[in-house]
Amino acid sequence: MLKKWLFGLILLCSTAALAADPDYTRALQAMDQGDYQTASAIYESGIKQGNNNGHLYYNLGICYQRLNRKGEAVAAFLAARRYLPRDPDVGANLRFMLNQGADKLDPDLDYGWSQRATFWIERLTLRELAYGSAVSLAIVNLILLITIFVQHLRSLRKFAYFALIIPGVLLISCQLKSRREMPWGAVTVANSKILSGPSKGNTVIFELHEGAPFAVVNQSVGEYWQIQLSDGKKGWISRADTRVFDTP
Amino acid sequence: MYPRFFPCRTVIGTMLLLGSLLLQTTQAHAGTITAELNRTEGEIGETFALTVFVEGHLEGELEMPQVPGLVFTRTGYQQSLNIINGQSFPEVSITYVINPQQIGVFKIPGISAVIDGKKTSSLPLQLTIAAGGKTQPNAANPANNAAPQNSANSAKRKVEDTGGIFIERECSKSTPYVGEQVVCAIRIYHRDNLVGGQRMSQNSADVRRFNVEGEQRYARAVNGQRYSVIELREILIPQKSGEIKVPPFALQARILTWSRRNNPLDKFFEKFGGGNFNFDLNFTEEKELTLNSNEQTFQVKPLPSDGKPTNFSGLLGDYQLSAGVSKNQLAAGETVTITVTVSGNGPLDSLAEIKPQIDAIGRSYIDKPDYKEEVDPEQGIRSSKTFKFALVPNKAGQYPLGSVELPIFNPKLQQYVTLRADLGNLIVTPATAEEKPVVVNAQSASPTSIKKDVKLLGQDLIGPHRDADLTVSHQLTKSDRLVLAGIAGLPLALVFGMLGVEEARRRRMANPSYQRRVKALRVCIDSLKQASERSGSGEVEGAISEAQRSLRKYLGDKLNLVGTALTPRDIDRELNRIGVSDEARAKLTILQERFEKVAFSGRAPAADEAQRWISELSSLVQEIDPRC
Repeated sequence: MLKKWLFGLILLCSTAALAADPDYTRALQAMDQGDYQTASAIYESGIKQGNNNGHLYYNLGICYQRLNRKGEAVAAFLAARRYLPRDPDVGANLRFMLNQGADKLDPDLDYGWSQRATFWIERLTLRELAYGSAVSLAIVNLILLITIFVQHLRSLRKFAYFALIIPGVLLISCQLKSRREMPWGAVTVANSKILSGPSKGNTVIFELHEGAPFAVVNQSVGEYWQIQLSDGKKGWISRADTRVFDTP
Repeated sequence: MYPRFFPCRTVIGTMLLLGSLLLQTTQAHAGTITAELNRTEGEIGETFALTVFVEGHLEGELEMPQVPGLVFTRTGYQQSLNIINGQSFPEVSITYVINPQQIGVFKIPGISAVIDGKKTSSLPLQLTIAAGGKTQPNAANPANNAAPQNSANSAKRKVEDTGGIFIERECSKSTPYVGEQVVCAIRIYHRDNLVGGQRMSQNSADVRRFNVEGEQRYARAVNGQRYSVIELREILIPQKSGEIKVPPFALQARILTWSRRNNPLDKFFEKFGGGNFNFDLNFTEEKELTLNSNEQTFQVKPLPSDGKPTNFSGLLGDYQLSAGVSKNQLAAGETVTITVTVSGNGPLDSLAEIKPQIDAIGRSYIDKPDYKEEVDPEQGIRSSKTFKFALVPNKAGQYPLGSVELPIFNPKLQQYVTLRADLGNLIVTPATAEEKPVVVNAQSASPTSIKKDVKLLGQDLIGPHRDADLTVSHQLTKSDRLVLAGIAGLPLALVFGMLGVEEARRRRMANPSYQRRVKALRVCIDSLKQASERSGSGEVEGAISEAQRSLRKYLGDKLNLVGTALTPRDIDRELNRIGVSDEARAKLTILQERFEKVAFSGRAPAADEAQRWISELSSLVQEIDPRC
């Protein structure tokens, strides 16, 4: 009886899982057949379910590009970069899309010397930094434990204390990364006016064109994001003119 | 006769004269329109310039008369301001180009305009057009009067100049042969108001078109007007005989035109006659329009059938043929390269392979032909095609390689010509070991192929990630945080715990009473050993006394008591407290009594018995030590 119940439960869970997960294989097939609309719909459903996967955003970006939705393609590649910062394909495709844009902008903000001094932060995800700091801390602690139990290995204790720098640095990197990590998006309309404040009556301070990347520095106020560009300019943009994945 | 109060006749007359003069002056500057022809006689095919001068404020446009047989095309507009006696008078001059369509005497009626609110007309003009003195290639097609030609060698077309812009196409010949290239010059005339333009594709299956890169820019006067000219070149190659209409050269142009409408500043400045202002913002507007040249008509001649070789290559042009071998003497089994090159004026892309008769000599392999083509603005297409053959003779001997031939049609000579190049003889010596056919690997025998860099033809996105797991979340989730807390926290807690324990242990070990306690047994055993030795050496009392002291010291260190103050009863009580067995306590008590008896009575036992007592004490101490 119990076995039957267990079997039924497993079957129910797997069925539910199958029904819930988008069919990414079908999405790839659709892409191969040129049906990018279907493929993008599948990927978007995955994102709506909270699946923040870098490869997912990457494939979605390709679909958007093929559908001539350049702004959304740039936004998708920017989201992919957040989770796959070292992936050369993501970097190449993002550069390809930005080169086609009208605005000369980079997909990065300049934090000055601290950014240069902590160059590895940009190459690692927050998850990698967190796991790196936890695992390195665990290793160092295990070494310390060994030095406690095994007397003649006490000389390693100094090395273990010194090695605490590694998890310490990684923990600080985690903090910096979580502070610097802002959602990036892109303009999706041909021409968008950036205002000095979050309402229509404010002054137009500059314009952006389709595909222009920006960082969301402030949560949205009403229908506007506060954004910052790579050249330092800041302003408020209508959310309707943009696409930002992985919003705060 | 006049009343006395009337002025005299002289005064009246003077006043009347002055008044009429004033009226005439006023009338003279009320607005005039005059029209002038640069010449009144000419021949068909020529163009004539008509200039209309308007003095005063021109309202609206000129009413140009319709004259059958004449085509009026406006080419220019100029404003100026005349100041006479302190008064300013605007003046406008508008130029037209007249294209006569037929011969005859044409009366051009007066051109009307509303000037200063009054309709005024110019005087009529007369234009006489005579027939052309030179041959008329158009005589074969008299219906095509819409396209007159100046000479047999040029075919000019001027159509539809708008905003001062017109396009002219002039080709080097109008009666080419099929496949003969014709170089055409396309000249875009403008009055520096051409902002930009894009050539529109006008293809025809009857004509191959080659664009020549580059352009020339210069100035030229046409009918007294200065124009800036952009000259382009193209090459046309008719693909069939007969009459072929080549699509016109079309340009999608953006031009600047003066705009007088809806512009308050225009109206303001009109009061001052307009003047020669060139502020684009106020006086010009940009508009797009399509400009075309007229269709080009070729009377394409077929190649003559007389004298046409049976193996005619189809090439038409001025070509040269050359051929050569890499070496004239080689051993059997070695490779010799035969090169055949065709070059000259004309395209060679359609030229098929020209292979010498070498199959009987040995194995031959052909390399991919090398084709080069360039377009010269004056000479047209110049190209060369090189064929390379690798020949591996398999027998010794002397072989005539023969010659290669290429029959072409030379349009300059208007006849078929067979180009020929002789390859000479090939001497093949026997192979090194013995003369035997050498089976040659096709790859090793083939000549070094001419390799070219791979050209980048386009760029695109890198394809999707197919093997990646798209179901895994790359974000730091709550479960990740729990795992991380476990990974980092557990060892950390253990370390802190163990370090605390170790510190406590260190402090305890640093405690003197602890030290004594740890060392108590060893000290006691050593001391009892010494006592036993003393006993053996005859100092029985001293040995027993030392043994007793050792026991007390041991118990004092172990139990953290003052050992010297311990009585046997105290010792028994303490041992009972810590759980020492009754038997051990009893034995210890008996030993202590013996020691006491010796100490108080002074009667020491024999040495060996004393040693036995001490040994027993040592055993007992070791027995009770775990309890302590």
